[in-house]
Amino acid sequence: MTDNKSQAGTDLLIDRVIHEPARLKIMAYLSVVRSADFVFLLSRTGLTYGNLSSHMSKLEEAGYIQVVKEIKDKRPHTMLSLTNQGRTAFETYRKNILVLLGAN
Amino acid sequence: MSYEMDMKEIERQVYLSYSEDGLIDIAIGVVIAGWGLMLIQEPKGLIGLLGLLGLGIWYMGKRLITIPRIGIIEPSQKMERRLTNMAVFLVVLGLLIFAGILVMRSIGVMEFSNYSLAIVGLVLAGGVAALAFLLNTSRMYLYAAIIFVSFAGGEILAQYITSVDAFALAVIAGGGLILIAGIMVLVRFLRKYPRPQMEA
Repeated sequence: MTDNKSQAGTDLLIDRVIHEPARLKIMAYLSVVRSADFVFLLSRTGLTYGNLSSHMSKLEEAGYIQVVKEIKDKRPHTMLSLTNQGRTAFETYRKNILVLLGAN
Repeated sequence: MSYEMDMKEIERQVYLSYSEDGLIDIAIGVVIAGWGLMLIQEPKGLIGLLGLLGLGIWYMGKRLITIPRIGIIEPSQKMERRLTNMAVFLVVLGLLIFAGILVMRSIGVMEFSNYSLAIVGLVLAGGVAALAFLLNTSRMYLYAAIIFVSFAGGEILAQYITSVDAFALAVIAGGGLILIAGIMVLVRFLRKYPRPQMEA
């Protein structure tokens, strides 16, 4: 059993990095856009600033998201996007979950 | 319990949230009501600039109200194509309407039909209905109906009520209704998306 994946079924692996509800939301919302800023994810996920930062760091450590910090209108601005690895991991997670739950 | 990650629904929610702010409603209401006001007040020639006023309201509202609350996204390629098509459509539509008004004024305005203003209303309503389709916002179909009824109803009323500019008043009323609806949508948006305390 790997650090971030659990055996769940014969050949299905559930990625624990993505499986956490808050991170799942982050990945889901980032998957439908090219990139989004921190405020967008705050408004969508309902997480607090600290929680979102923490989950963001975990996803970045796993190589699933890319975080770009810049200054915009003299204020710090953070843009997040899924990496190719992140998109692949999310798609794999989705398929595995749907198979596990018996969905078509 | 079924658990389906409907990505299309998530996508729909994401992009729909940007039209939940009521700004397009307010912009349309201001343009229509402004049109009616300009018919009563001078200078009438500035009617053509109402579109710019509406655009300005929409843009500043997005910048000052919407984006600080729900952030910015870079849309997916598919959505970018759709938004580009929508922008092109709106620009072309605006130009056509503006050109149509200029033509009507140059030929003496109401020579070719007894219900020319109703036709103008129909064209405007068609544009708003198309916008409703593109933005997937059903309340805008109602706005399209209000616009048509204001223009057509106003033109009919004007034939019977001559003491006041009935057409202008009908258009102002229609625009006012849309504006009020837009303000209500905006208030709901402000409650749903308070400004975040801290931003990264």
